[in-house]
Amino acid sequence: MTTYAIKNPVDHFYWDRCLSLWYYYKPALAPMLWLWPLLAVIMFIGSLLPCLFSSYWILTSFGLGAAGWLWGFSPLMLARSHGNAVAAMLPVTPLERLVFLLGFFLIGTYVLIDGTIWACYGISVAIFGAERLVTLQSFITSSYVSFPSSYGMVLFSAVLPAIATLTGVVLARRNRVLIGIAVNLGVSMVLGLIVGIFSVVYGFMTGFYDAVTDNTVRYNIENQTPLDPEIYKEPMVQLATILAGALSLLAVIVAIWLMWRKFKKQRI
Amino acid sequence: MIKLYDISYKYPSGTLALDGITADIQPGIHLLMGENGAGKTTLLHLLATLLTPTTGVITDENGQPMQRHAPSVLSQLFFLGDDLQWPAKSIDELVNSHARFYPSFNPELLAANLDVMGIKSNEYLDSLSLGKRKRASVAYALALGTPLLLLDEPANGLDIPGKISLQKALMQSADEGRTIIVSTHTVWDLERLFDSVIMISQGHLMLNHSIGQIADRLAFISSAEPQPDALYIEEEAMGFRQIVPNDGSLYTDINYPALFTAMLNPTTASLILNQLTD
Repeated sequence: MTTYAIKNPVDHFYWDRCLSLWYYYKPALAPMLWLWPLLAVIMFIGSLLPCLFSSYWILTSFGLGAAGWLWGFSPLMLARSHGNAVAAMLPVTPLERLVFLLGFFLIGTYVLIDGTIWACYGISVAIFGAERLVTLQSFITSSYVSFPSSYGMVLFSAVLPAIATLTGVVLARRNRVLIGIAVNLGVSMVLGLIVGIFSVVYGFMTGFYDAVTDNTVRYNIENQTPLDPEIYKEPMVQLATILAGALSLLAVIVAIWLMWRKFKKQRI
Repeated sequence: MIKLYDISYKYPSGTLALDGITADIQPGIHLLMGENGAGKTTLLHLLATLLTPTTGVITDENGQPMQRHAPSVLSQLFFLGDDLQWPAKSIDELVNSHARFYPSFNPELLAANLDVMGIKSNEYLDSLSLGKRKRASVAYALALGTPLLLLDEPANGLDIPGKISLQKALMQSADEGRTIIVSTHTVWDLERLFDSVIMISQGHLMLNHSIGQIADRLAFISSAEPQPDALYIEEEAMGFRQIVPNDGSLYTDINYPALFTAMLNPTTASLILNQLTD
């Protein structure tokens, strides 16, 4: 006999029913529970080997970066859940549906991947010793999958790819995988473009201003020493990070609003 | 009893799909019929709270307006349309993933329905033919046990044994107090089961009467010559198919195609409705 979420359905948000959505989406999402950790292990090994046997750190960062892509594209698995009509009829509130999907893909999937990577790191330390893995640890800590430790705004940049993919999959009626990928890449490109343009313009304007007002202490007219770009780098990176975070926050809000609207108006 | 008060629905494109429908729908199995584009599916979608009426209100058996996306409402109804896509591979998986949201789900009824339909609960739905997938879907939808069940063309794609199975499954699933509305063009597949007929045409309600009332007040006959008091006459191969007034002394099977065609004509429709309400 099946156990039921609730015998006397209420119309307000109900955690029991929200969490029961796992059973509804389980046929589509359950493979992630073993596949994602497996992929994370493979990616970790792909990062570990260069760290142990070479000094090509780019390969180390590539493996961990791939784990970030894994998180960002996780919502594509939702496209495996068929039955638009059945989903529209499901006795859950729009908020329960939204909270479940956001919780699963932003928190649950993240913990699954990050937890696996850290577990692998722990095992690696036990086998190879922490001294050989110092660089790997720093890569993990600063990588996309690690909890951002600087500037709270970076958090929104980190979650945006996953939310963008989820929004694409939720809003699309057909070709959900393609649209999910397109939204993810599109949002990332647009964000990168805006931040990049800002950085160039900012760098130019600041350098020009400093040159005109003679604020650059390292510039020596007699010796014709060039401007040192390093003095602009840190403030520019900080501002670009904040800008990226702010734009990401805006995009996250819009994405969540779009999904909420879709669930509110969901029809067959 | 579900009540529709002056229900109209206009699509965002401006098309008026339903206009001023007022009806009471008692518990039982109801035939919903109408020509293509009449608004049958729109009406089913409104009853399923998937659409909000442009005007009017639909109330449930407690007299409460049926609100969209309210779990208390959605758990009491189910709409099975043409789309046979389910979020699970098999009926077993569907029970674990989907039935848990419906407090009225009856596993014994599901087993009985699947047995009648000749479907195994662990069979992969994607591997079934269209007809078998339809049978499995209907068996499952009936077993959800929702007080209101809306079936859109459930007999489509079914072979003769499938239609017989569908009849049996409907009969064993139709509890007292349950309302099942069946929209179908192939009326004769299920005609023995219906308690009432709801007919709409071009968005308007043409007929909403019980089978008993129709059979009491009308007789459907075929004869070589037209009767002088016939309300509707249609020429057929061997004579005339007619709808005549019945004083209760005759009992004839309802000829749904004739009734449907008669109701499309304003003159004959008026005569028939007068006969039914006298």
